[in-house]
Amino acid sequence: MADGDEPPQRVEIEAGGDTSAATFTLHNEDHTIGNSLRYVLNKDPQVSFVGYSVPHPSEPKMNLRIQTVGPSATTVLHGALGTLYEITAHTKETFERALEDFKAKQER
Amino acid sequence: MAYWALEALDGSKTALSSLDRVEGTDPPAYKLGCVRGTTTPLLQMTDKIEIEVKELTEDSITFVLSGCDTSTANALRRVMIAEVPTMAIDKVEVLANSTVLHDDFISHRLGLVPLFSLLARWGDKELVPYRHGDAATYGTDSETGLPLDQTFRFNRDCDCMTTCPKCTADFTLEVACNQDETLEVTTRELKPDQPLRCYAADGRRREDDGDFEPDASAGGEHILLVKMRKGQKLHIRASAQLGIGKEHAKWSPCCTAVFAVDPTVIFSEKVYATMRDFVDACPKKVARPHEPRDYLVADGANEESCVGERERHFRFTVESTGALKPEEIVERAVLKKKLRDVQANLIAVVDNEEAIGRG
Repeated sequence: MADGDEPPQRVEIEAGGDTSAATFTLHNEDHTIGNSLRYVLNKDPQVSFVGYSVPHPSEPKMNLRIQTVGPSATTVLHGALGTLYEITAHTKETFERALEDFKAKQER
Repeated sequence: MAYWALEALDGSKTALSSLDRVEGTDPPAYKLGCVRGTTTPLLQMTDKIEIEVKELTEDSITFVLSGCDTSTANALRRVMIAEVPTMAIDKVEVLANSTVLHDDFISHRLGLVPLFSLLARWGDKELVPYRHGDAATYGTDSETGLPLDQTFRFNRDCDCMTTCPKCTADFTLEVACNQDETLEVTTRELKPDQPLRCYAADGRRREDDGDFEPDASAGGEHILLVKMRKGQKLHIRASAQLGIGKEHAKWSPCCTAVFAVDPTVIFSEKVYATMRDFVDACPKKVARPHEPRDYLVADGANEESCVGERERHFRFTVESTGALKPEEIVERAVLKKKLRDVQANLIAVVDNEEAIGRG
């Protein structure tokens, strides 16, 4: 990618003492992703602590703190993003199927 | 450091998802947070998301989303309101205005007019269904020479210098009042330069007859912009661009997008015994015998019955402004692109840090 053409950096990582803990700052994100990521990460037994905050409503950023029982926090976040992706994809598929069912029922 | 951990555990730094689908389950279950190369499947996702559409009209949809967490339901609601792209008038050039409303006021009103366009989407590669034909008969727009499935781009992402038909749809409004009675200027006078790609969503239209009049019998009506008296003039050029509700509410495709949680009523055995007929009469079985472990009784609460919330069951109601069909608002309200962006960025940052570390 040419210089100046790069996408704006949306993620910042502030590492803790080791790789198992880190604070991620997601720019231009809010409760939409924050709360659902927190839910997914909370279900992960590798995660010992997870919390998120939006420091100020007029500042478009969201902080996410992850502490794990060992594995790298980045890897765990990466996995959680994948899980959430699958959940949304599945929701979309389910909705489309439900809509088809509904329309078929209407026609009958 | 982080990079090595990612590579060592994940096997590949470019693998976008470390998530494995559990085979043979319907609805699909997922091994949550399971990292390729590790031996322990960590957790099976118990989310069994189900959706049932209850009602669908021209401008609203009601459906029940069940089996998912509140955070997921809320994310869906938030995306529908703030992050589904639509077209809205963003730049207005006032050439003449002698009406009682000043330029800014009329510009603001124009901005709030919902514009219908099937081509308002994230990304321009998706094929969209076109109202006047199917994929085989797409053809090109006679005004712009663009294919009719060419979606609008965000103006800031477009390769043009200022505006072009790929990112902007222009409108013209030119009215002069020469009659003694008050003249009502409505969106009927708002003439789109690309009438097939983007036009004012002022009422329900008759399908496929090429008639752009609102269907009054279905409740359609032109939107009033300003009233004029004899001798007054209004000449405006307006540009509509793609945007999202997060930037300004005029780009939000929803009038309302809400979810409600159904109540659960629990009666004690004593009440149940006296009210058995009443309880059994309910076809939806909202009432059932009391089980002590089901709830906690707060101080002073009535121990004979308990009203709670039905968990993981959300009744959504979405009303459209007319800018999109209600079912399309829901279909497009998926975080997918955003999540991929964040994920790709996470990898880029980790790569970057690693490069600096080496240097």
